[in-house]
Amino acid sequence: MDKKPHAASNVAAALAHDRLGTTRITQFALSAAATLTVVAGVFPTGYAVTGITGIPAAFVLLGIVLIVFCVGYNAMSRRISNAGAFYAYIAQGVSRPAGVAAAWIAMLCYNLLQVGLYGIFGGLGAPLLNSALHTNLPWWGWSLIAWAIVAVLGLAQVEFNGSVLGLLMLAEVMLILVYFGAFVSHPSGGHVTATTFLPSHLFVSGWGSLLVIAVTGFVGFESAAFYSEEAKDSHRTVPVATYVVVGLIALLYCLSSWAMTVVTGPDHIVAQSQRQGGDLVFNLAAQTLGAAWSTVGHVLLLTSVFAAMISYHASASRYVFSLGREGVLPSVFGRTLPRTGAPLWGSLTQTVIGFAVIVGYASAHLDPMVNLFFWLGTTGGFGVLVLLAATSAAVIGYFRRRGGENVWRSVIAPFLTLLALAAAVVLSVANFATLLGVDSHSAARWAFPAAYLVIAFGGVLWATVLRIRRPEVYQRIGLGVTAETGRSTALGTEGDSFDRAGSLL
Amino acid sequence: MRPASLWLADEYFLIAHRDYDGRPRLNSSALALGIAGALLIELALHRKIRINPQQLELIVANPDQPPPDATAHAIMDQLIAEPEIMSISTWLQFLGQTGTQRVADRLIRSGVVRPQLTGPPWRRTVLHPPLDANEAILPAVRIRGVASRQEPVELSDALLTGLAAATGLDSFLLQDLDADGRQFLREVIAQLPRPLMCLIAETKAAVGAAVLARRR
Repeated sequence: MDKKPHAASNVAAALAHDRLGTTRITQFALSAAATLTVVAGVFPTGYAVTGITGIPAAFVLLGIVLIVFCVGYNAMSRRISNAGAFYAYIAQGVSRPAGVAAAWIAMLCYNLLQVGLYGIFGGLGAPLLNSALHTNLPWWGWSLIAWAIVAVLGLAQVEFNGSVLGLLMLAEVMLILVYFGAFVSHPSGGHVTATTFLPSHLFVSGWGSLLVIAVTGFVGFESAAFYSEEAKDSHRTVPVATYVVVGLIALLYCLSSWAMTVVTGPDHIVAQSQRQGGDLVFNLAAQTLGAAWSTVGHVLLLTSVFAAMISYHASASRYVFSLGREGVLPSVFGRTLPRTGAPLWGSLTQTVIGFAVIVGYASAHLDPMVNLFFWLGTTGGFGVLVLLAATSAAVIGYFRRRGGENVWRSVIAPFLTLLALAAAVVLSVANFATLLGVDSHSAARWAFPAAYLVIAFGGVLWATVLRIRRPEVYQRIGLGVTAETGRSTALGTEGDSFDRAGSLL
Repeated sequence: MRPASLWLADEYFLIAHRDYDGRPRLNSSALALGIAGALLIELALHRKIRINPQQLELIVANPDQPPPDATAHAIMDQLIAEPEIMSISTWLQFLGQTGTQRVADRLIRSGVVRPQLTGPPWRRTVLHPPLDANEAILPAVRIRGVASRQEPVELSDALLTGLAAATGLDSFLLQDLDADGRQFLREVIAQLPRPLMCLIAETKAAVGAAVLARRR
């Protein structure tokens, strides 16, 4: 790919014009991370449900693991451009059946993460919106309103403009920093303690649940690699953006989750979270900064959740679209709505699932914050943890076969993260009851992680069916929308679009 | 100065816009890539370019003979000016930036469409409604007719159908066509020459990539 800059190319210049730089990609990935949703939604619920105070320490620990993970991840993103990075890497680094399993797992993850957001929107939004608009809708009423808007915007292919998202993201981060300053300058008992960073607060019974909470917070960092095809210089831009995003998220979340324990006192954070739930952060802001800051926070939270619902809806439906184009899902999922270019069936599927979940939760009288937002969100996060571990294995497998990277990037770093992440997966499964806040004999503690096992098994089975019935599709698993032309040479497939010509109609 | 028949990209343009008011049937990125694909197919049909299906590259051929019309001439000048051989997908992206306007201009010159300002004052856009709606719907009607009667299909019509399907226009193009007609077209497309099929498949891949590109 090394091009010598001889005679100037008009084409290259014209196309370079709208390529993405590091700042822009960092901004996109941070927007996908929905920072305020995590700080105001995940942390208090996490403290309340698990009863463990070591969340800040968990972010430090996982931040370190993920920085090392990025070494191998970035080495892969330099070679494979695919908007479904995890599964493409796993298909090419481990095996095609593993790739299909990963694709289905990822589909479930992003689906759960998106649907969970309806819970926080209804749960935290209903009291605010009802008092502001003098209405009296239950939480699921507001969730359904948000759901309907997301459904329409999804088909119209309307999304927040990148600059609007960037401004929202900046406003969220600024607000978190202001809250942080206020919390730390109003310590409980008059002095600041950093004990929640100590290993003694992390390594307690059930601490695997904190790792899942931390992974859920980090979700979004992986999206930088999705832009490799649109990046100015995919060899530099994307890796730099990935490191920056992981670093910033780790810093922002460990500071903000710690600040909450400072203002309440480490001994009271769990009790206060259990009492106030998703209002905790805003109540603390009202106490330390004044009511206006709490209102600003509430408004920003709702816009943050709303933007995240739309963007996760779009991500999930594009993921399904990409798999449909590739043949990993039935080809009808690869169709778009001509007028808008929206991935038609991907979007509708996500919409139908969202509706079923909201109605199901409402009729079962379950709690929108804990049972919908936190349970489904962190279960989505757990799936990402599984994918991260499998991706580490894929890095080793890929470079073992193809070479071309130094030992640190191709073996040592991915091996270390494989060990760490695999241990985290095992620990998370063992502590799933703590994560959900249920009794250790509860069926839910096994049902949630088992869903991934079932869907992964389904993926492997489907890959086997493809291998026998449609070998040409099987050969191209992991190549994305370019699968039909076989542009990627990563698997050594030659470009032969012709045997699939009939699939055009 | 009406040409006896329209160029392939002209007909694609007409299929991709509503015959009665000139509004696009397709989203802008798929439309741009479809037009770009049509322009490249025109050049390939005139043997001005060759396609390398293994490398998915475009190679300029016969640079000494003048291209058939002014639009093709302008594109050939750009192709020849490039210092390196480039991939089909790069050319699709590049021609997509200007292709729709170029083809619209060509259709204006041949008196098929006319420019018309529309939209509120702060968001003016130009539409290109056809002067004669019957003429504009003709390519679609012709393809449907040939398919339903299962008559031999011209190469250019087969390419047009393939390109329409690749960019998401098949639901319009094939409406009212029965299963036999569709199957017939499917077989016709499957027999297209490999290099041209490769161009169409690359266009489809580019449309798919545009759906996945996350910024608008």
